[in-house]
Amino acid sequence: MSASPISSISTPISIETEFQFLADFIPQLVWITDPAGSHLYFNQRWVDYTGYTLADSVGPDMWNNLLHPDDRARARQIWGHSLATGDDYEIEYRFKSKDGGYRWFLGQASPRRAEDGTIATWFGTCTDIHDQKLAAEQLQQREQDFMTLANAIPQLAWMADATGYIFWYNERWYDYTGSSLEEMQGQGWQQVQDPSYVAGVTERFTAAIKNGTPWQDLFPLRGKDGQYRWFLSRALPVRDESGEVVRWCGTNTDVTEERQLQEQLINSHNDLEAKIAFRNLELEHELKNLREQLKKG
Amino acid sequence: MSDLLLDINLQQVPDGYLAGAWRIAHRVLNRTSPDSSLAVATALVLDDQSLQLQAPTQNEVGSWAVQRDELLNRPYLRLNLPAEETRALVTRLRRTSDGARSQLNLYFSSGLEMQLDRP
Repeated sequence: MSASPISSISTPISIETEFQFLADFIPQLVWITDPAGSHLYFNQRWVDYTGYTLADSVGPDMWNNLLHPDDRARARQIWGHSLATGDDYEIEYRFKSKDGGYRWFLGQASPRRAEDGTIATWFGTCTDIHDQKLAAEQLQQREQDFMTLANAIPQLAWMADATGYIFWYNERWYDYTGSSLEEMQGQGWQQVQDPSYVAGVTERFTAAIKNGTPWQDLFPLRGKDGQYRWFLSRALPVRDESGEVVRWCGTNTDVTEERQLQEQLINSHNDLEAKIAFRNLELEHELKNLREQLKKG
Repeated sequence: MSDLLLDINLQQVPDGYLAGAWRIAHRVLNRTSPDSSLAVATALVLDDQSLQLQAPTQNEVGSWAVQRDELLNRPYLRLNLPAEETRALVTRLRRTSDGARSQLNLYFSSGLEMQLDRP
């Protein structure tokens, strides 16, 4: 279908009527003010949501009732700045509906200028972002909860992208290694590894990333005091709905004391075996001496 | 210089690591007579082949040698003293990286166990 200019349509229409319909049809609340900020127009959605008409906008009462108390001062300051400077206006604030509940809106406005550059009118819209705002707040809350959990666990923890590039470590990692994200991101963790383990660990980690299989390894990591401690390191892939690996979550668990206890146990066992063998030799030696004495006797 | 004592591989320990003036830091007698020379000794000086046992009341002089047996994966010491001849298995030897400090654990055929420090 080819586009036709409105003026060429056979049925005569009023552009003003069409734009009036458009202004009421779009999902935003629409408003127009004069250069001083006095309202000249509200669309029907504004009236339907707020319950206020253009006549109600004279004076401060409508705005004081409409805006959430926590948003009033900020809204006044930002709108005042735009009126004074002609800068575009943008703000997130809460409007009370005529039914009593508050919803979050994104308020935006731009000045329409006359030929001489002076501001003739301000055109503004308020877009309902309530659901997105709540979802973002919930997401932020979940992220805060995750960060709290990630920093509370006794392990060092980290996250890598699908290629194995590490982009996040928990606070314990930084506390233990004395390093920064700038130093550690990507493959920077190799800097705190015992050099003799770097090649083997990197090879096995790279293979796990390539194959998308869980990774586990045991190697020493250097603390900020310069001493190495042994860590059992694990990582699991996080997949999207299609099964593609999108991220890796990893932990490093300090097993130094367990290793020391294991070594002590092995040493004790070896010592015991050696002592028994030594005692047997001594008995054989004594037996041999006795036989020799008997022969002499 | 690190003060850390490192375990020495007893299968490859040089005899020279066992020589020197050892102070007896700790001992467990087990069934050893508490009056025996080794039970009351405060130090053992292993110098070349001569052994000097130092005790609060008297010193004794004898000889010592490092011996090995293919059944044992660690050396043992043969100690000859005027009153007795005994053998002691080396159960552990630790040294600092510069050799300035050492710690030696011995297990005697009588059941006596000793930890010796140097210096």
